[in-house]
Amino acid sequence: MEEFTLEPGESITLAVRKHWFVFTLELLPYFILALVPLFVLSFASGLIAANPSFASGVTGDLSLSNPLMRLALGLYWLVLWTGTFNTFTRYYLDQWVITTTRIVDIHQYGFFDRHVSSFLLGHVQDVTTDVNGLFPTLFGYGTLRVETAGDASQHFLMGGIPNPEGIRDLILREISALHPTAQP
Amino acid sequence: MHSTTTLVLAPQFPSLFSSTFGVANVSTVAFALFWFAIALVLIYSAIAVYHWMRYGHRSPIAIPAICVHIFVSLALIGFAATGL
Repeated sequence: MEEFTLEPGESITLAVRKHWFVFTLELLPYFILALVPLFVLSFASGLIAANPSFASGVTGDLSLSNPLMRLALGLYWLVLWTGTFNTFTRYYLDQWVITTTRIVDIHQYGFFDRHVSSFLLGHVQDVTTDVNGLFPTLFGYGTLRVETAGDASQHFLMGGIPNPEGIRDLILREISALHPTAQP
Repeated sequence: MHSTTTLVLAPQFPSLFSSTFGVANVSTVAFALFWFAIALVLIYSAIAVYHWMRYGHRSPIAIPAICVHIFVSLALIGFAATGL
């Protein structure tokens, strides 16, 4: 990533993206929408087979042998594919990077809309995890919220990340490693 | 007995439902729509490739992802082009 440069002695502990199941859920509408025309064509074919008089009427041209249907379907799938690839791009370019000294929060909201924020582990005051619902519990993903201390207190949120409890423990271990003499 | 014939001169418009006019119109619109969609996809692809190369170029999946996108887009464009 170009957004930040590691300081001397700093190393990346973990780079995390959203859980694969969350990504799959985001892709699901595109998949369903891509199949809809095939079901409609199949239904129309069934209707024509059951009642041949339809063939000369409204549904007569609803088949892939009609060039306009191929054109419409091709452009429709092209639009859906563009949306699918857009979702994948946002998924892949959206991540949290945990280093030995800080957390870098990178959000790709859309094209030409990228937000990168970085905060030191030494400023972290509270780390909260939230695993809520059937699928998050089954697949082990949830929301991680990190709050920083100080006058300009901020909170950083990342939803749908895998193993939020493990990442919380990792962050707390890294904070402990920064202050080896501090005792609870 | 005289019979009177009235000649009505109605304006003649091309019928929207005549086969010649209709087919020509639909194919022109389809052709324009096709190239408009191609232009949009080309612009989108250029922007997407820029973002991948700018922010994800160190990733091992950046180049394969771009290749898959271009391949699938070309395949769908080819499929749509069979309808022209």
